[in-house]
Amino acid sequence: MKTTLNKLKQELIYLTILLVILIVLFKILFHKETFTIILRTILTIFWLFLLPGYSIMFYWNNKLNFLERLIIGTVLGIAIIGVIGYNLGLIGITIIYHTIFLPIITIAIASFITWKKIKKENQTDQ
Amino acid sequence: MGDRIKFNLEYTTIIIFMGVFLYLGVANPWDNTLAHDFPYSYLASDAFFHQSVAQHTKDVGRYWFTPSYEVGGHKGVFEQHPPVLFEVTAAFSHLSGIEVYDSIFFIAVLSCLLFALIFYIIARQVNKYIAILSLPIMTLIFKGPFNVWMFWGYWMFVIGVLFMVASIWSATKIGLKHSYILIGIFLAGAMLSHQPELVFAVGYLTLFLVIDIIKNKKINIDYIKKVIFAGLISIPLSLFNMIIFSKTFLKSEGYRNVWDIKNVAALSGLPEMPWASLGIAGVITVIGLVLFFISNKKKTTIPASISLFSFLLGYLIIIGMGKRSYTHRFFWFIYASFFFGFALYYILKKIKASRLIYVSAITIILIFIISQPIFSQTNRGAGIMDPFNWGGLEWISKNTPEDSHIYYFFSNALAHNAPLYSSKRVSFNINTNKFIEDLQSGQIKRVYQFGLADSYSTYICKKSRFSFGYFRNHLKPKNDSNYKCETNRKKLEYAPIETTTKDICNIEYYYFNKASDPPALAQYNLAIRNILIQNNWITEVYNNQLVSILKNNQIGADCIENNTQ
Repeated sequence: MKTTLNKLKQELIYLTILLVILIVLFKILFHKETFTIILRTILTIFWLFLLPGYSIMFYWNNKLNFLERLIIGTVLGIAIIGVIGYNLGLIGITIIYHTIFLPIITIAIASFITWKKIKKENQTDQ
Repeated sequence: MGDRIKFNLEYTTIIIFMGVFLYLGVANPWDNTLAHDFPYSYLASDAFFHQSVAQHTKDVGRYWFTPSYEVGGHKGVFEQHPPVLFEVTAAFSHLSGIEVYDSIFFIAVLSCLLFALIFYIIARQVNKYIAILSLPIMTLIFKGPFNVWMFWGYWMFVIGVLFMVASIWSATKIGLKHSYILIGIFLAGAMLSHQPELVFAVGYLTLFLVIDIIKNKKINIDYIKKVIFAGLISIPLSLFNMIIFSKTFLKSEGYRNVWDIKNVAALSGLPEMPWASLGIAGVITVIGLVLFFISNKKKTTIPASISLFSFLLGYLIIIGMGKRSYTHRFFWFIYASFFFGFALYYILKKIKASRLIYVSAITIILIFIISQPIFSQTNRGAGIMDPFNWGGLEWISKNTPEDSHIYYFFSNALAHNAPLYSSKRVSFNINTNKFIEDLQSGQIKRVYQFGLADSYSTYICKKSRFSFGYFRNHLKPKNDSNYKCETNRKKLEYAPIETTTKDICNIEYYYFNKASDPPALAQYNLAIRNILIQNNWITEVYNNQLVSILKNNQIGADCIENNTQ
């Protein structure tokens, strides 16, 4: 149990460091841009793509390394917004709701699966 | 896991690579800003077209009907392009606050960066050093003529390639528990991003399974089950768009020009990208390929086969895949990167310098050496659009009645149809060749030749609850109660001659540019404008340094009198 939980905690620190690095990198690359726009851009990438995808990919944390899960997770996040969002649009749910609820629902489902997995590991340990 | 939070050479190298990649792809062309006042670095009609569809998706909140002003004023025409790029752009723009025209360009470059990184992790599965050494060559995709995908708007293609590569990666992980979820979602992503990339992804998946069967001399039932499950996920997710696609692009596009192998680039409107244009990097790649074949291949077979498969997509022109194959040459430098890294690693190993510190240092130095000459090639400035014409288009979109028709006289920025969609009104663009002839006649004419701005060859609509039909005309007729969605698809009928061979006294809104290249065309514009404005019923409703928009309040009244031929 501790292994998975510790890994999760450690990787959340990595993600926070990545957030800071990306903000600094973007500020260097787009040095004529305001800090607010840069911050919103990076937070949007995190919220829409990176976090939902990463949280799903954590399911395979024993088989795939952090870098793989991070990169594939971001692509998965794009797929979720694009593919699931499109289908939600077909039934009349508009994009404004996708941007809020799709990441929340994805992260919630992935967290639930991770929690179940940790719980199962805990029971096995005991 | 083995990943350490302390200084990590591999991650540092990747971050430097990402920085240079984003500098070449976005920061440099965009003058180091993220948000612009008008579409920046757009160099072709397709770019404007895609941004207008994404803008409409954001405006209405979903990807459903084509904007009526792009289909001759018809309402209820189903959007037939694959939706992912537009959905993602609209969501990104909504949340980031960056305009759609900037967001869509950014998403395209971000997608390209991600698929380059997928190639990195594919190589890294077998050898971290080869993966790191493969990074420098990837920046060469920003070299001319390979970089036109950014400026010309090949953005749906890029996101399609992203999902194709992600599908291929997930195929290599088919042994993972529940891997079908990833395969299924990525295949749906490819289908809903750019259909040819779905075909290629399925092709790789099939090849992968066939090779597995040959290698193990048995069918892996678990793999087959997973592929079926992946299909059960991807098909429902992309079903509606597949139906629309089968009734529109599949019928209208066909396989035009695909057997003329020698002229694929010219026929597809693409620059020539022969193998030789890969230059020294191409030679190193070939050395890597040769070294791969003479070395112990077992461990590196998967990344090498993916690299070869992707590279050869650019050669599928020989089996008639035409433009759909040729465009993959844009990314040859990414596809071939594994062999480039393989060759460098082989050399470093021979000279006993294959430690991570050397590998990272050489990679970082190479990234800067390789990318430095490209800096000037991605700095294309503002592109086709200018702030004045953009201001004019925006004014129209906010201040004219929704059903009004706008007639555009010559403008360099608006010479193609797609930029006009940003006015969100049905638009008619001057026929430039005919306009030059009119100018050469030295007279102001009563009638000028225009063309309806539209980009679709099929207008698909809802016929009944469970069936689709088609509209018959390019331009929706006004006041025709019998005009409706019909069952059979026929070639769209051209707009009526009175709307395109236009008596200028019957125009409601005129759009003029006051300057142009060559200047004579704008002078002719101004001569027409100055005669029109002499009538007290024609007023200037908008103007800036470059644009003048007039409104005719007495349509049909003689607006030229003796000034015309």
